[in-house]
Amino acid sequence: MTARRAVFLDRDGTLNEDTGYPSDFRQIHIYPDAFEAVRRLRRAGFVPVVVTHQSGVGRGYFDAQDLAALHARFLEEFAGHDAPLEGIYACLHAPETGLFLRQAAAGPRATGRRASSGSTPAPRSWSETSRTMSCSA
Amino acid sequence: MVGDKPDDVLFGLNAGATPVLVLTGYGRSAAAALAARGVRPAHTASGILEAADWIVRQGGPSGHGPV
Repeated sequence: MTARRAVFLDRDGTLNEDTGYPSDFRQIHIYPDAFEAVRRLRRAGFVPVVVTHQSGVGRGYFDAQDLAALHARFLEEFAGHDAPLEGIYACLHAPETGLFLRQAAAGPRATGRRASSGSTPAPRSWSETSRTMSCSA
Repeated sequence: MVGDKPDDVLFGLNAGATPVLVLTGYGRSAAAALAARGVRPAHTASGILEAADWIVRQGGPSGHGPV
C-alpha cells in the first residue's frame, strides 16, 4: 500500500466564513477559493482531511446529529465541485473539558465503510495525529 | 495543518505537521497572538488557495509527514 500524505484543513475561517456556531448547512458560506484549493491539493496527490473543533455540541447549542447532517452536506458540496474531501473529523467538546473525541464523516470514497464501524479509515498520518493531540482548539 | 486560529497552528506543531496560518477568519489576530508567544507558522497565506499553492510547491505527497 502506497503511503498517502494528508493535509489537515480547519473548517470555520479557513474553508468557510466563521459565522459563530453554525448548526445548519444553510448557515455555511464556503469560500469560493476553497474548492480550487482542494482540487490543487488532490491534483498534487495530497489527501485533504478536515479537522474542526465544534464546541457548539459540548456547549449544548446543537447536537452531534445536527453536526453530522451539516458535515454530510459539506462533503457533498465539495464532491459536487470536483474537490472531494477525504473526511471531516470534529472535536465536540466544550473547551474546558479537554477530551478529544472524533466524529468521523466519511468522504465519498469511504461511504461504504462508514456506518458499521463508526470510524473512517483514515490516512496513517491522521491516526498518528489523533494519538498525540488533545482537544485544545 | 491549515487554519486561522492560534490553536490550529499549535495543533499542527503538536501533531508533527507543517503549520500554515491563513489570514481569513481570525487569521490576523491569530498572527499577532502567535507572534506574541514566539510561535511561527511555517507559512502565512492570505487564504486557503494561496496556502494550497504553497503546500504544493513545498513538495509532493512523497514527502515525509502530514501538512
